[in-house]
Amino acid sequence: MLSSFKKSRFIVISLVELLLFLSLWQLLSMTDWFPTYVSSPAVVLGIISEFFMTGEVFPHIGISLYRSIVGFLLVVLFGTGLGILAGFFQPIGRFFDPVVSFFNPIPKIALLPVFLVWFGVTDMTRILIIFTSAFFPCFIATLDGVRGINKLYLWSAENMGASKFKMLYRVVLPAALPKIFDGWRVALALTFVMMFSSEMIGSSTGKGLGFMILNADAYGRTDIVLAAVIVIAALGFLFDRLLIGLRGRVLWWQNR
Amino acid sequence: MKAIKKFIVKYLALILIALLWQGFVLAELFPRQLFPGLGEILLVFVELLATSDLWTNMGVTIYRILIGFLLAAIVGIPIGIQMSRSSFIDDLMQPIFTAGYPIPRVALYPIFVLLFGLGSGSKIFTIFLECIFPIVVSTYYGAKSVNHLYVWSGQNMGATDRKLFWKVFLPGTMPSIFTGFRIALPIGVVIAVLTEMISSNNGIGYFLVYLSATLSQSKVLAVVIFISLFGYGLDRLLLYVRNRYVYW
Amino acid sequence: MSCGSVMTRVVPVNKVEPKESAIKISNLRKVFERKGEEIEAIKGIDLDIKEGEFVSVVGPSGCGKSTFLHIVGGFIERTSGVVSVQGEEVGKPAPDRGMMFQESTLFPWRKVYDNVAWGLEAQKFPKADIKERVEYFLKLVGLWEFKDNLPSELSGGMKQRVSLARVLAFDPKVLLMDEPFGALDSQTRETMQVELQRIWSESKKSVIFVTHDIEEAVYLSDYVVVLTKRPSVVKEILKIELPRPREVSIRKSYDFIDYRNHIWDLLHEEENVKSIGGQSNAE
Repeated sequence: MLSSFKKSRFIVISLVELLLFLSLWQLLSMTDWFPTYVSSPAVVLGIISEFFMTGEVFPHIGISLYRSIVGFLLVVLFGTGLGILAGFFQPIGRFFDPVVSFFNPIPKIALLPVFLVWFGVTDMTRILIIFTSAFFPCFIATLDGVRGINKLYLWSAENMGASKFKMLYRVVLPAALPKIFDGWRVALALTFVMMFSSEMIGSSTGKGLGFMILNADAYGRTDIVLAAVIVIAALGFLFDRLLIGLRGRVLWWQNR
Repeated sequence: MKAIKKFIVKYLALILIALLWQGFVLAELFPRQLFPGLGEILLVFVELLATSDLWTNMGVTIYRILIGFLLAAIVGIPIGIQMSRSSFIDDLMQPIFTAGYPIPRVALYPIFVLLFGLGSGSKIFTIFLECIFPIVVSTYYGAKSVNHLYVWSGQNMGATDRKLFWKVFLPGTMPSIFTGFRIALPIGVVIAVLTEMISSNNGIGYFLVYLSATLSQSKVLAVVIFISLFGYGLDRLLLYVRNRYVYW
Repeated sequence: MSCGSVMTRVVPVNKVEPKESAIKISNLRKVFERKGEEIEAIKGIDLDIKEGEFVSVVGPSGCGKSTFLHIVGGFIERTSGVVSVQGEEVGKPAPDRGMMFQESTLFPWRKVYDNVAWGLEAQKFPKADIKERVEYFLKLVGLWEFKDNLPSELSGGMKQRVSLARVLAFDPKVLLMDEPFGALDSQTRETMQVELQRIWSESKKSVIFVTHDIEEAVYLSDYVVVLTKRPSVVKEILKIELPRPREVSIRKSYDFIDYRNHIWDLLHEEENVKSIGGQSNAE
């Protein structure tokens, strides 16, 4: 009761603030001294609706999402999978520890030019940079989650005669899941940043929201730039909500 | 002998990766220029250290990171603390920092270039915008979870509100603030390199793209090593500062 | 000795040597509001504690004895009633009522010495005075040689001894102790009880000591106040007439066991009221 009241109040405040921000922006854009190259929200919203009416934005969204989702799923698969193994089986953990301490501090974005040379301006490059950027947060969070499991859970499961494999997905996975979700959220945010960046750097032709911004920017169409930025922001927000929704479903036993 | 064996076992993964890399080089699957050996990269790295190009560009990047990060800290910490102390400000700011968190703010960079120009301004603002989120959120949760018994004992010992804030509340929040710093600083590095790669005429990100365009892969990789060392050093420095001042 | 003879339902007054009232609590009532529902935690508590007395408060778990102490300390607001220290009504937390909590509230970022000095600094004691007092009280609890350690380097028992030094150092009029040894293992706890008795007899402060440990209450106290379950009232006040200073072995004496058993019975009466299910138990 109380929390749903709080939630709806939160949403109301958010919307009011958004509305205030938009109207302030609108008002400002009608004054003289506001830079003319920043379009008014009315214009930008017009562009966005045009995007969807004509459908010209869909291929861009599609290809951007394809890159993001493939990259993100690879991260989930390898980051979480290896993280659980490394956390559960000590020799595997010891094998991976130096890899983490060596490669994690590298600002992965710096590898983008390297990949560009190796693989050219392709989806391979983009997915690879998403993967390298988002892998470590996911892997480390999972590893921490598994290593942080109360030993007594494992002992009692062993005591009740669970096999190693059964323990992995009956005890280790659920117990580490809150941390794993934290890792996924960070990875998702990085995925979107890298998707946008990899589309903006080194590509002059093609599709994707980042490319769309780059292209519009080159033609001085700031209204289209802003519209595309808002679409990216909305997608980032939407997918985060989806992940949180999934978390709420899966981790129903938390926050009860 | 034993020590060598121990070393090999401990760093097995890294040794394997290095061997694999060298194997690729020796097999000559790719042209040398695109896939240089580790020795060559190291050599180029040492040579690069003597060039002024590297240092001037790195200097520009460091300047942007530090200013953006410091601004985020100066603005972010008071916001986080005020949110934890006043439910009105909490209500007001919570939507911005909760709903705004997952939005890739760096996408606004092209707009900032229009507003602040191609120079440092647009980069610093983007860095500021990305760094402030983790700082505010960490400070907020840290301040919220300061053990209320600390505050109670402070009151019990007759401290004024002012003293309570500076001597109990703030030190109690400090560990969380540093956690926020440690999240924000690497983000600052990434965003600096990123924005410089997208559009700039100086900075280490620009330097990388420039080298990459000349297809000198060994130099690119050497700069990557340099940036990584810088990122690593920055984190160590922060850790040192934390251990010095948040020693408990 | 029969317990009946020392039992009294009225506030105890020492007839032989009438003493000043150190802390007086009358009609203290507390109603919490949780999710729009009113919960009466404390129905009405009256106590009059004289100068230099050690009074323990025990009661069934969840009876609000800690809440009671937090109200006396001023950390939680009372719904109604009066709390006065040496005749003056008190409210907000202040150094006239020194408080010790169950868990260590030593500031982890300050060394032992600076923790003890904290309250003195806050109350702007002169510098030389601070030094003298910190040294005196750290020596009193036997931890002077740990003055440069951080709290995280001390054991649980040592931390609570430093807490005691910290609270004694700023010379409160009364001491409020909320299960201060509750988190310690039983051996450390026994040592701490002996220490506390020694330090208390030197400092001559009035103490309200909340605990769930009956033996601890009997061993330390002049009076043991037994509360009923929620909503709490005073069920009985028991005068403990064991000679002081009390040896550890006093726990084995029949008198001690009589007191202990009597309080045990009182508490179990309370626990059992639940199963009978009447609200009227408080009457």
